Order: sequence, then structure tokens, then C-alpha cells
Amino acid sequence: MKRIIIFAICLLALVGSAIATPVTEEQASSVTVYAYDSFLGEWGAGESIAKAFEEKTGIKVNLVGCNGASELVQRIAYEGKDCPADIALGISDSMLVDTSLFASDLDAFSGYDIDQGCLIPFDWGVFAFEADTQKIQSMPKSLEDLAKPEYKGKFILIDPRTSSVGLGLLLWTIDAFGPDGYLSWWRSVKDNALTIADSWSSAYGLFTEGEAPLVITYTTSPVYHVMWEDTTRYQALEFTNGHIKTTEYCAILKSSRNRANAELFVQFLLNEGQESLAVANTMFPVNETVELPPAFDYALRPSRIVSFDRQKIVDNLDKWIADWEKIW
Amino acid sequence: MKRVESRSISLAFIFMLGLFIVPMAFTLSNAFIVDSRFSLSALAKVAANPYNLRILGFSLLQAFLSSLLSLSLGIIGSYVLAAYSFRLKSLVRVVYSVPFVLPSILVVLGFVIFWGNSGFLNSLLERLLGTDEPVIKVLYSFPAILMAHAFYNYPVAVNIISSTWEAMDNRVEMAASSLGAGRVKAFLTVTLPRLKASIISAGSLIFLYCFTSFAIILVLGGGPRFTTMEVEIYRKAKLSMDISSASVLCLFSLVICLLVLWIYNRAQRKAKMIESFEISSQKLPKIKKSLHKRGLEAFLVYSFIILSLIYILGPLASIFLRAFLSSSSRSASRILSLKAYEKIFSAGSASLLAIANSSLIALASAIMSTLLALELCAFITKARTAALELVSMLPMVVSSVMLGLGYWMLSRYMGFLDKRVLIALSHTILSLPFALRTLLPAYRSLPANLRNAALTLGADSRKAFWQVHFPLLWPSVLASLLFGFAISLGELNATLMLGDGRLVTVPVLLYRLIGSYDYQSACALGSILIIVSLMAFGLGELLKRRRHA
Amino acid sequence: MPDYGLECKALKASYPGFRLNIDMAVEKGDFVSLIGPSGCGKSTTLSLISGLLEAESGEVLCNGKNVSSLRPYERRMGFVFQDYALFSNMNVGRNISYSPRLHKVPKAEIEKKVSDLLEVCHLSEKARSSVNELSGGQKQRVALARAIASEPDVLLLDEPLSALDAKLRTALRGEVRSICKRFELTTVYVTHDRQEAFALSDRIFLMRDGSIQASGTAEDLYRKPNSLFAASFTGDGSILDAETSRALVRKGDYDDISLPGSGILFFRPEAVTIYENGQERSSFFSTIEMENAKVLGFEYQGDRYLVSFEYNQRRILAYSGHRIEEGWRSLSVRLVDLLAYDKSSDQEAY
Repeated sequence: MKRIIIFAICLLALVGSAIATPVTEEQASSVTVYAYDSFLGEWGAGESIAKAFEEKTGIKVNLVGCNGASELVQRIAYEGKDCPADIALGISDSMLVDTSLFASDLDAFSGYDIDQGCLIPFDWGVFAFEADTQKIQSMPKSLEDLAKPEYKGKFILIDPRTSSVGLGLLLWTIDAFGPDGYLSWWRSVKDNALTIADSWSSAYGLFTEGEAPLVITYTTSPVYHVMWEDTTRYQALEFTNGHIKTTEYCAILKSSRNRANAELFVQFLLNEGQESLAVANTMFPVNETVELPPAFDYALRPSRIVSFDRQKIVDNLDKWIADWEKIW
Repeated sequence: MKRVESRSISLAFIFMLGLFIVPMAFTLSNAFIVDSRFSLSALAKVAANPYNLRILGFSLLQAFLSSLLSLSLGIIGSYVLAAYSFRLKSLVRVVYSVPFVLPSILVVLGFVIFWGNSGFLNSLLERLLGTDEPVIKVLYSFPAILMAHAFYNYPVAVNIISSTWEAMDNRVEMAASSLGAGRVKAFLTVTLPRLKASIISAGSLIFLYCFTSFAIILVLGGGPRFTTMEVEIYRKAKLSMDISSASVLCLFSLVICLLVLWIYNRAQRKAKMIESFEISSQKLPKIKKSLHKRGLEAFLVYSFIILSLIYILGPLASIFLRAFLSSSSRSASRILSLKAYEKIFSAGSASLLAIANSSLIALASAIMSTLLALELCAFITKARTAALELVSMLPMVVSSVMLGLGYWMLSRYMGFLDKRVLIALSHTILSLPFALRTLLPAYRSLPANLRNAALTLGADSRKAFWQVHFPLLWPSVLASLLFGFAISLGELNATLMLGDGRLVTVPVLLYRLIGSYDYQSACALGSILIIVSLMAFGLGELLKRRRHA
Repeated sequence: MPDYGLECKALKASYPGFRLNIDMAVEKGDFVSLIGPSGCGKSTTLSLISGLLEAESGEVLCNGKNVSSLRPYERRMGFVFQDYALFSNMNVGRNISYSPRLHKVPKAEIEKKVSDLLEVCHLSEKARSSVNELSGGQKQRVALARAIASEPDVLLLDEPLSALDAKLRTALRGEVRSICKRFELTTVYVTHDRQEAFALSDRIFLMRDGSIQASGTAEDLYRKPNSLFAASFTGDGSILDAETSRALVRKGDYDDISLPGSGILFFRPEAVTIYENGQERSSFFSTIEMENAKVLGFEYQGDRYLVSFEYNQRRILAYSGHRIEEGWRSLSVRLVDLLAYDKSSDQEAY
């Protein structure tokens, strides 16, 4: 039957081409890294770090992209002991993770501030509002200022349920106004904001397109524009409420079959890779000895930086979010 | 003869089963699994939460209003296409078809660039009116959702309704006219009832699309106020890691979709009975009115055409324009340049690979879905029940997030398959409803005797198909191929889920570009996607015309 | 001055293939037919009269009033289509009451009108039926009733019976006429069936290539057609050339007719007498004699046979009371029964 034949040919062609370009994962010496999607790709830090690492050690790096940090962890949990990953990269400090998945015998990294016994930090940032100085002259000085009529439709917030930056903002307000007061802040700004974006990239994209002159982001965001666009028009604003710190972690899987390679990779990440990581991610490196390009002078280092207690997050997040949902 | 046919039926059916029902079953089974045990508690938890009920209510409301808007505009557009002849009509038709196959992120992009506070429209108006503040503040609100949905679904309405309308002969309207009914009255009492079937058909498709709409709601809606089921499923599945809740929501969603499909089917059957009566053997060719000397009428018609073209081309043109406007430095004003195109086409860049991957996958899935649809056509036209037709429509309306999730779970067992194959297969299923929609009417209108004539003249069943039916079906086959190609080219969610991040297609690249706030390159790539869609549909139009000639 | 229910004055329109130029006048209350070969523009003419198609120039007058600038729904002209064009989303009663409802006629009046019409059309028990369930003849009657219910000044029917079988056609056509007469409607009836036209009409208009070639009563057109075309269209007949037939003339005792010098001679089958070869015949009248005509074939018509002969490469039709299958016969035509036409007028024998 002609139809079936054509059908089969197409299928075979595809499979054939697939076989021709082997996508094997297990090679003699390799390490597999599950990372969030933006780590990969042309503009992510992944490619350059992987290349540099391969050049240095000869170990092949397999980068696997996942659609966001939580999918990352979810996938690892789902794949269980069959998971080919050696390293999970991109876990943020507000996420709940099943620590049993990750290796906790991390003597090699004792110098670092290891969280929960298995999470190794590799970069960090501070949340703040950024302003487009060309579009706005009178800057808000605190979170409360944003409720003022003069800022109506002028700032972009992010949904804490779908974005770690959004979550950071939520925690910031809880820190600034307390668990009893944060909702009233949200109530006061919810009609004042231009929009509550679903992700940081949406929000930031709208910001750079000129939809609104203020956006919640990292204090290091202006650095990107200085480095790549040669402009200083974007500035991070220091608020009187202090600022929340966020850290990004990676972890080595307990089920990893390339433990030694994995450790080498993490070491690389924390040393030689720090600069390109900082530049690509536009975040601060954990390794203080790294020398940063001059553009980083434009990153705001606030006078008061607050860290949120992880246990508190774990205990209360569901309730905080549920309450937050109700105000809409 | 019968044996041969039943063989082909099972192949198509198995395919449907494997590619759609199994992944869905995988995903949905999670609704009943709590802590690795069978339980209904997940269902109870979700159903009891008033927030979920609110979301459901909102999803239904926005879908309903969006489809109302899309249908109204679609009816007007169909009328203009069916009743009048004017220059560049084919071009208008092609433009009307484009929005639908664009990935929704591109639609969102276009809307922001065109309608946004700093968009082209506002910039223009600000300059004209000499103000500093944006004049039209329509985005990030409920109306924005409706507008974007209308933009997206207008082509569906126009395509489905106008093809029926054009095929109708207008004797009945003439009769009404001779009985004293003015144009409006005649339309309301006589024409509209005849169009009921196609309006319902278009309406339910649009409703389901809006119900499962995602990117548009997320970005253009403006916040948590406007959350739909799909968004919530996405949140639960991807971010809260609460697969069982996501599955429950998906289950609820599915049930509602099935309900809508069922209602649609019943209404369509009823309306079809009325239609079939009217098929007379002698069809007068419909004389379309030219707008030559018609004063007010011409003005209204041209106004509508121009406004609708602005509405559709505005966001699309904005994408093109934005691709050319680059700024040497952010502080300077923008200048026109080809920088973005140079960038994305530079040697070794991901774009070329993305285009290659996309094309290959699109080609494969277009061919496969068309073949599958052809197989199913024969079976469906003979079947008594509409069950198979309904089921084959499902992929179009089921949450792509969940479908992707299902495939991903399935892929763990099918790891030997190349990612591209998997994606092509998923695209095949997604295009299948369109292929069917395109081929079924053509198949049904094949004269029954033609095949018999061929058989009596000595051609066996297979030959009869290829030598007699196929040439007649060819234009529809081509249309189905083009549609499948365009749809696959613009598909994002399933590709992201299955691609592992290493397989780059055009939409994935687009998504990444937007994510790394390189809007300009995103627009450059998007403009290429638009051009390809325009070409595909232009080709389809050309072929349709040749067929009629 | 007769009272015209419908007049068309120089009604012109052009279409790919032909141009229409209509001049016609129908007396009030008359039932007239419009006949002609297919493609001559009969249906188009009706559409022009009703306004469903726009004319380029010319006037249409309805009961003396110029309606040319009015849209179809403003002219009071009923229209019955070939395929009835019934509204399938309404039942029989609502179809018929469509126009009165539009014009906001009081409900009681509508009901009475509808039931009257249903009775006249013998459809009383079908008032609530769906139109899809009706037979062809019933649909036709509903279409007629619907048009009449709109109280038109003029009723236009476009081959309303052509979709029905022969027996039904014959049965219904009389009904159509009597209904129209009962309501005193000026009616124009388009048909391709000349027998139908002959049976029904007060007057017949014969159309060709977009214009009216002849008009008159059925008898006028049959017996004294004004052109060869009219002659051939209105009935069977045979043609002879005048010049070459001179030799065949046998002078009769009682008349004094002679053939024209040139031209075309036309005669009906009933004017031909068939003789056996060599048979005695009377010599009262001057005739054309055709000896030894060969029998080509015959058509059985129930009450007689229409036999066709070949004579001098011409086909001659004649009636016979009995069957003539083959052989040779002699044919005779009285000069008085001949119709003569100029050679210059259209040669096309229909």
C-alpha cells in the first residue's frame, strides 16, 4: 500500500538521520549537568564554561536544559536512580528540595557556605528596583513609595508563584512589613502596577521595550547594559527597606556515576568559571577573589542586605502564597 | 476490499492511540495517584478549593467573550469576502489567515510592540497629539486578552464561515428580497440560520482555543487577577511540582472540553440536516457585487477591510520594523539597520540550525498528519457515530503543557528515539485535527459514483483511489500539507518539553531570545517565521484559485 | 388604451455572451408566458423585472408606476424560483406568512390569509410540517402560496414546474393558472416547454438572443408566426425552398394561389397528406407534390404517428393514422397551408 510505504519512509528517514547524528550520553569521560534553560544557548554561561572545562580537563560536558529551576528538580526526582545527571545547577534558595537526592559528603567544598548539607552556592544577587533614567526622573525611595499616585502604571512586578524573582519580591515585602503587613502593601500597589508579569524575562523585556520605567530585578542588571549596550541609563535603586539576597546553588547527585568528574566541574565553576558566570548571569560571584570587569561598578551594593531564613520559608510559604492569592 | 480498508483503519487508529491517548493517560493517571497510591484525595482537594472554581469561572468567561468577539468580527469578514469582489481579495484572504499559525509568544511580542505604552501606535499618536503620556492604554487588562484572542482566532472564524457562505447559493436571499425583506432583515431571518452550522463549528473551536490559551493570558492579562486553568496547570506542573493537582485540573479541563465538543457536534448535526435539503443540482454561480459605484456600501466595506488589515498587520509589521530598528547605543535614538538579521544569520549561529531542524520536523509532521488524515477520512465518512471525529479533534484543544508532559513521561520509555522524531510525532498529532478539517469536506464532496465508475472500468480499489479520488483531493491535500507545515513551524510547548534544551527549533530560539531580552533579534527571527507563513498560505490560495479555474 | 399591469421599456443589460433588450407589455390580470430557446435570457429577464438583477437602462412599470429605481424588496413583485428556495429553517406556515409578518400585518389577518392559501393549494394539513418533508409538487405550491401571500401586483414564475415529472406538471399547471386568475394577478410565466405555454397563457412572448421576437396568443404564434424562428419554435414543421419547389406545384381547380419567387416555405405536419405512390387524389386545391419520398422513421404519439420522410435531401414531417415503418410514399401540401418567409430573415431552422 503506497500510503504505508511513504509513511514508513518518512519515519525511517527521521530515525536514520537521528542515528547518523549520535546523541549518546555515556562516553568514556563525561559529566552531565541538568541546568535551567537559560544556562544553555548562545547567551547562557553554560557553553563557554563547558568549553573551557573540556579544554582544561578533556572531560566532555553534557548540558541538559530544563524549563526552569523547579522543573529541574522535579525531573531529577522523577527520573530517580536512572537519572543520567551528575549535577543539578540552578537551585535557588527559596525552593524546597528533597535533599536526599543530593550528595552531602562535600568535604572538597568545605570552604563554601553549603546549604542544607548538599547545596553549593555558585553565584548570588540582590533584588532591587531598576529605573530607566531617561523615562523617569523622580525615583521612589522605598517600597511604600510605589503606592503613590505619581507612580501609577510606571512599574512592573512579578508573580511570586511563577518566578524566583517574583518570590524574592514577595519575601522582600514580608521582610519589610512583616507577615501581617505585607498583604496591605500588595493591596495598595496592585492597581498601581502596570502589570504583574509571569516571569523575569517577560517583565524585563517589557521594561527594556519602554512599557514602564521601573521593574523589580537584580541590582546587577545595569551591568549588562553597560557592558553590551554601552549605556548607563539604567540604574538600580536603593530602598530604605533594605534588600533581600538570593543565592543560586548547584548540587551533585547521589546517584551520579561520574562523581569525580562532577567534583572537578563544580570546582571549575567556583574558580575559573566564576568570571564568565558572573558576566553571563549578571550576578555576583561567590568567590570574592575573582576580578570583575569595570562594568560591575554599576551594580548596586546596598548598605543593608537581608537574608531570609530558609526554614521560615519552608514552614510558611504555602500559607503566604495562599493569602496572597486571595487579594486578587 | 474490506480487508484492505480495515487494515488501514487500524494503523491510523493505533497511531492516534499511541501518540495521543497514551501520553494523556500517563499524565492524567497522576490525578489519581497520591503518594504512589491510588486515591481520590487529589481530586477532592482541588475541587474543594474555591480558588480553583474561580479560575474555572474566569476561564469559561474569557473564552466565551473572546469567541463572541472573534465570531462577530469573523462574520463581518466572511460577509465581505463572500458577497463582494474587489481587487487584491486573495491577498486579504491570505493576510486574514496568518495570525493563527504564529506561536503565541510572537503574538504577544507583536502586541506589546504595537499596542504597548511605548509601542508604535502610541508613539505615533503621541507625536501627532503632542503629548508625553501614552494615548491608548489597552494592554495588561481584560480587554487586551479579548483583543489578542480575537486577533489570534479571527482567521479561524473567517476561514470556516466564509467557505460555507461562498458555497451557498443566494436564491433564498433573493426569495426573501422578493417577499419584501430588506438586506438586514433577509440576513437575520434567512441567511444567519443557514450559517448556523459553520458558526457553531467555528465558535466551538475558538472557544476551546481561548479556554486553553496560555501566553496571551500570562503576559497581556496583567496579573494573577486573570488566571485560567491552563496557566494554573502550568504553574502546578512546572513550578510547584504538584503533578497530581495539575493532572486533576487537566482532567477537569478535558471534561469541559469534551462537553463543549459534544455540544458543538450535536448542534452541527442539527444544522446540517437543514443544510442538506438545499443542495440542488443546479447551482447558479454566485454573482458577487463589485464595489464600483456603491457609495456608502463601498465606504463601509473598504473601511472594514482597511481596519481589519491594520488590526492584523499592525502587530506583524511592528515585529518587522522592530527587527530593523537597532540602536547603536541605548541612549541614542533608534536607526534602521540590518544588524539583527546579520546577527542571527552569522555563520555558526544557532539560527541556521534552528531553521534546518524546524523545516525537517515540519515537513515530516505535515506529511505524516496528511497521510493519517487521509486514512481516517475514509473511515469517518462511513462511520455512524461522530466519536472518532471528536477524538481526533482533541489534540487541538488539550493543554499543550500536559500533552508535553505526557510525551516527556513517555519518552523515558522511548529513549531510543531521536528527539526530533518524538517532536515530529507530537506535531503530527497536533496538526491532525487541521488536516482532517481540511480533507473531510473535500472527501465528503467526492461524487460517490466516480469510484464506482472507475471500478467498473477495471481499476481495482487502490488504483481507483490514486487515479480517481486523489487528483480531485489534491488541492485539499496540498492545503493540509501547508497547514501542517505552518503549524509545526510555530509550535513551542511540546518542543520545549521534549527537546531537552539541546534541540533548537525556530520557536525555541525565539523563546530564548525573548528570554535574554534580545527583543530585536527575536523580532528578526519572528519576521522570518511570518514570511514563511505568508508564503505557505499564499501558495495555498494560489492553488485554490487554480482549482476553481 | 389597455390597462397594463406590467411594462418593460427598453430594459437593457449586458452579460458575457449576450445583450438583453426587452420591450414588453402585459395587460392587468393576464397570465402570459415567456418562452424561447435555452440561453436566450428568459430567467435573466425575470430577474431584471423583479430587480434582483440590476438593469443598465430602461424602465419597468408596475400598474403604471415606474419602479425601476426601487430595490427588489420595495417592488411589489412575487417571485417563484425554479428550485422553490423555501426557507428550510421555517415550517410551511411560517414560510407562507413570511412576507405578511415582515409587514407587520395583524396576527389574526395573517392566520386567515395563510389558512385560505393553504386551502386553495390543497395543503391545509401541512401547515406545521417542515418544508424538508414535502414532495416536489407540494414544495412548489408552498412557494406559490408564499409569493401570493405577499400580495404582489405582479407575479413572476421562473420555470416553476420544470423539476417535476411530466404527469405532475400537467396536473399542476392548470392549478397554477387558476390560482393566479383567482387572485387576479398579472403573471409572467417562464418555461421552456411550449406546450405548457400554449396550454396556460393568455398571451405568449417569444424570446431569442436577448430580445422579444414575437408576441401574441397561442393561436397567433402557431398559425401565423412572424418569422421562421417563431414558426420552428412553436411547433414541428418542414421546410422547402420556394424556388426549387415551383416545379412541384400542381394547380388546383378552386384556388388561385401562387408561390413567391424566392424564400423559404414552412408547413406543419398536419398540413401534409400521405398517399400511396400512384394513388388518386383530389384536385380541388393547389398543392405541392412530392413523389417517392422515402420513409425515415416514425414517432408514436399515442393517437397518431409522426412520420419523417426524406425528399430531395429535405426532411418532411407528416402525421399518419397508422404505422408506416418503411417504403416510399407521395406527400401533398396545400399551398394555402404554406407559410412563406424571406431568405434574408434568419435561416436557422430550429
